[in-house]
Amino acid sequence: MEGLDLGPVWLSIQLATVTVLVLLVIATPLAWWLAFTRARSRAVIEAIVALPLVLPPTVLGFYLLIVLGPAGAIGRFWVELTDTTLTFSFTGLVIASVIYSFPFAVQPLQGAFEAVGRAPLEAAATLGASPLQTFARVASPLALRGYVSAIVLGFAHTLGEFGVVLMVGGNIPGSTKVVSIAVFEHVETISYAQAHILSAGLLAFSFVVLLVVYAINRRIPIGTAYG
Amino acid sequence: MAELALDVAIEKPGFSLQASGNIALDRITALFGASGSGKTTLLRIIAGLEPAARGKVVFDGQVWQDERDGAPARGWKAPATSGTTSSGQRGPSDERETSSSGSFRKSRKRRFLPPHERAVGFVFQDTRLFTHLSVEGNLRFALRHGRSGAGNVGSGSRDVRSGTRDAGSGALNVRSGNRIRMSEVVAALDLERLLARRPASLSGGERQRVAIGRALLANPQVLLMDEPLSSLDTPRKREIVSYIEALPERFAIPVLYVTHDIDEVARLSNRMLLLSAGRIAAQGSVSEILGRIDLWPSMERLEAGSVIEARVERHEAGMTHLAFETGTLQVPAVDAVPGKVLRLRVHARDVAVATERPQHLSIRNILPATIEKIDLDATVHAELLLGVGAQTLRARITRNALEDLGLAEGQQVHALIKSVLFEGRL
Repeated sequence: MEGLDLGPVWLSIQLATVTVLVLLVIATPLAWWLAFTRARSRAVIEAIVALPLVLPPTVLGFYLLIVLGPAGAIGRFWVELTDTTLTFSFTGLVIASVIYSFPFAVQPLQGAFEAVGRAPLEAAATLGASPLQTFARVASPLALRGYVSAIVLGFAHTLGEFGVVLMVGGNIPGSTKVVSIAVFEHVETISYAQAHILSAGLLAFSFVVLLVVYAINRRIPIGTAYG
Repeated sequence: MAELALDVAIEKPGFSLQASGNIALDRITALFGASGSGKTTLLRIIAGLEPAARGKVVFDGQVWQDERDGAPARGWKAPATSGTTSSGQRGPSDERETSSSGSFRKSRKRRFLPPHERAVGFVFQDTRLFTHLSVEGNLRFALRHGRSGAGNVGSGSRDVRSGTRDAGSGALNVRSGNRIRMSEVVAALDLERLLARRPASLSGGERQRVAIGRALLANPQVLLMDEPLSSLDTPRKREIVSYIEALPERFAIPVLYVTHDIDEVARLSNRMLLLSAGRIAAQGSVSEILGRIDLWPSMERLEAGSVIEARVERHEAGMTHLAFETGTLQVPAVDAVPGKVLRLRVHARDVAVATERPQHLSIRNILPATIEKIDLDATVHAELLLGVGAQTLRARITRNALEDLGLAEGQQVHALIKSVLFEGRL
């Protein structure tokens, strides 16, 4: 048996970490807006956000390939800007992963903000806290469960993606060859032993992560300002 | 004495409120009315919690909200409520943006100071304590974010004006002097034992005390209280009332107190506003408003009654004798020194009328009175307004009794007071 290449494992972890960070930055304001708006466009936005849940990853990957490819709108701009292509690159994978995992970050956050409700936010405002201070010191701590769920689900879902990565990223060692792709390759080349190791590792990791989340969530009170 | 100038309107599905007038805020002013009359909405408008409200809110010269070019609130009509503001059509609400920096944007038609820039303290009916913080954390939150280094309006010693700011930009207090201190609040509301506790572990009364303390620590210039007692049982109510009663003097802050409980009004307030169907029906002293027969329809569904004042004369055999202009009342012993003026609340149904001074009767409290007005609007009942010296008593009797006795306005009668329900201190 050849030595096991751990490159894909590190790449997966890097990808998932960066993806989660980007997700938090983008998903938090959107989830906030969805939780508190009365605009009618809310339903449309919610439907768009949920699309990756129902679309086959290959369909999503296909469209991303077109948009991010050197001939696509974003892809062409990226080539002009950096002289490299977005497709088959780590950056392209991050963009694809963010879109693919978007609902897994937005939905728990939106639910958590809705559970917090307007009441404690109004109370904070009458105590002199600005909207930003209210968000940081009242809404976010009360929505902690939502953040934990968003982070963990976003991370785990990114680790597990396959179809989108294959379409957009291909299989370039050190750049786009993540664990799920590596497993696929090992199976293709009938290196079952290595496929076993990576698969079992991923399985164990996913289980431990979920276990930790559920354990933590039991200890965090549900966000509400009513005593 | 602080003054609140209001001219505001808001339209909600199935409800509209239009309130205007100058409200003098001295000690505790009651904002009274039946449920659905708009009390809470008006309080929220004052605090800036109803961005849809149009019109003007000026507190002690500080413009909290103003519509410069727009139509005055009085004549304002909401755009058709069927949602014309969707689909890209711009309703009036769209021009109503506020800057978060505190200064008004000159180009906007509307000035609207957000709640955190108005010097209000708000005590919510449901307390709204932050569950992720301890009691002390809740108090410190207010201390940290509250309006800094300013004192309060009112009659207290803190009322020292120094640096002035443009009243139009009045986000900050214009008064200097002591900020309300943590130690004062903790002492005044007996919070010491609770500081380390979590809100979830507190009783209803304790939570409300913490909420009051937290609102005070934000160092407001006016304290708005929205039915703070309504979720408490009677013994708890009594406990909290005595704390609330002491606030205006202790912290030199005027209180605007929303309630639908007439007993709370009588106990806590000297002045009141009567709100009816989204309009301010009357404002004035508590005894005057409760004695005005024309306002009774606004108070329907409430226990009709009147508030009178009497001086403690002496205590004798377990009874307290109260001196009244035209006689003496005896009530079960009241804890008050002779000479003190008490406020009594008498339900209209506890007052009977006799044309001659009755003999052989268990009722001891009989006062000569003059019928000032007879109101027949009620179904089988008649409401009488009785002049007793300079004060007025309301009596509720049946129409049959009215006819049998041949009662008429201007007639001299005897008012039989079956019980005095409540004693409020003056």
